[in-house]
Amino acid sequence: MGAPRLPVIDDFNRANTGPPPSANWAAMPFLAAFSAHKVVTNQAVAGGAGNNAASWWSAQDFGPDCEAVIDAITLTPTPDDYVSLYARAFSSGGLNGYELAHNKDGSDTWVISSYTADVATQIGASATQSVANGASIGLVVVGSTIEGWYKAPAGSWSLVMTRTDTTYGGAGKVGWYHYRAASTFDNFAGGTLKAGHRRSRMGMGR
Amino acid sequence: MAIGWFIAPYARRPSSRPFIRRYVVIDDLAATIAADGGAWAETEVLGQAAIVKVRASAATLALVAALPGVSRIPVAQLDDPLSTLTAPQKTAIRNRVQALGYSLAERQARFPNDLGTYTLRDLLTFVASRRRRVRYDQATDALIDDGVLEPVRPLDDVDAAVA
Repeated sequence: MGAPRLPVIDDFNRANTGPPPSANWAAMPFLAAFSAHKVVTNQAVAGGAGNNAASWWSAQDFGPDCEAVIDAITLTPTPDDYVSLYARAFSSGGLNGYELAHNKDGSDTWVISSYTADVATQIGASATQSVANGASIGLVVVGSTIEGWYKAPAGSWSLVMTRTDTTYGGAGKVGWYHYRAASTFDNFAGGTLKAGHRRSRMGMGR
Repeated sequence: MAIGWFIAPYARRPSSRPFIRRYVVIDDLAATIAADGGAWAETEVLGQAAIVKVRASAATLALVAALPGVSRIPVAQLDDPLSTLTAPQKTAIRNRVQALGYSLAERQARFPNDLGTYTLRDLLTFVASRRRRVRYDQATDALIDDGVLEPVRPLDDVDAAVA
């Protein structure tokens, strides 16, 4: 499939605002009703009083083949600090779609899951990849293949994990979630991958 | 390395955050399997369980078999006969399949003869004949598989994913 390469759709470079970060975003429909993110000093941070924030690009659906990428500018090193990306996401009794989740605890675990009505079912084995401050995380979904990608600061994309699932084959929203109020994010990229899209697996791209 | 086929339960992944996450307990040995250079793949079936194929060292497969709720079917290839199973092994498999939610009548209709006259493919294809959507019940904080029937990942997909 190839490394993420779609352009940034929000660099958050604007006056402080939100939540949500702009009219193109909305809070994701999780069971727990998390706040969306907000913009502070040209970056995205948790929008509410608590540690959880989840936003999806509500302006349009993307896909079915699509990708979502976020730059993790700072992740707090505390246990249970999560950042997750979503694709083919929609609301029906809660959140549905695909998730790539990274847990920045001692194990730096990556998991790909299928969400159905707020219940996340892990697909296959977890993987391990540490995420440095300033790194990028990418979720790419093409057909029944779901990939998690990692790009170190000033580095190239590398494939962390690939899983297969046929539960969700239609277009949906892209978005991201994070846990820990002190974490900051930037440059959300994503969109639809056109049919016949050909990309290098050599890490070229965004 | 060796190949093992298992029926393994899904478990709830604990978290300090309000997420509802479930995973196949085989993942508790993900690092050990990866250290072997192995792999595993699953297809969810009835009863919040999965058929799992694991490629790993023999020692690691023994660890997998010892995980809570995991049953190993001691036959390596899908087209291998179950004739090598002992009577207690066949009884254990029958009981496990019934515990997943497949009725005695269903099982007897599919396997009218001794289980040893069938192949692993015959057995696992039956077990992978259906699964139900799992929902979260907030009142009891439980995951319940009483929803609509969902598509099952084909057994051959799982087999091919762990060559």
